[in-house]
Amino acid sequence: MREASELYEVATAKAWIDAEMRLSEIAAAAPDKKLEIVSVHYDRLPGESLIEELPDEPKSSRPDAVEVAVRLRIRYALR
Amino acid sequence: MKVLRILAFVAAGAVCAPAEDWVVDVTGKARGAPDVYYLLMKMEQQSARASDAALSGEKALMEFLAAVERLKVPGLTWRIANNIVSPGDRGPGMVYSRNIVFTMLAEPSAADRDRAFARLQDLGAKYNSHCVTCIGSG
Repeated sequence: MREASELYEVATAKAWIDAEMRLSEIAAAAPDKKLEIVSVHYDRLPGESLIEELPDEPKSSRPDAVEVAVRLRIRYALR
Repeated sequence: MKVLRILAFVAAGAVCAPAEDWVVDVTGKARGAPDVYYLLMKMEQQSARASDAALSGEKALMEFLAAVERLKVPGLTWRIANNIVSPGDRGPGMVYSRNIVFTMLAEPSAADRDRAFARLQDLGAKYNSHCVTCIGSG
């Protein structure tokens, strides 16, 4: 059986990629300053069942997938 | 001398003052096939007195769960949650509610799982229990 933590690991990795991209853009916009990460807050969001909804059809009672999300709040400073 | 000390303090503060912090919020998502399915059912019993509603509600719950046991659905587990007593919305009296969360692993085929949940819902209808959020997954 798959562990939910595996999905959360994937979600965390995706969030980090996004965060690194945004931080590198911020750093590039301020070349005379050094970007320092002050803190990272990690928050697991509740999983959601995904059920496909089609127009003019009753909603299926069978979830097609489950989706989990991780939110990272990165506090940084430009010094 | 005192003025010099104050000037030195202010200058040091200007150099050492912490830079302003900024925040980046990002959300990462991951999707997978469900490996657990949930069925949330709610049982309600109404009576003139809350104690009577609770007694008959517990009795109906035990009878319902005994009937569920007799279905012998493989891999099915359940837990009971919430005791809610609230004023009846259909006339006078009190309503006693319990929630039952059924859990089933995704290992049986989808058809078997759907059949099992349909049987549970049919059985629930006989015991004044009904599906609330229907089927969720995890």
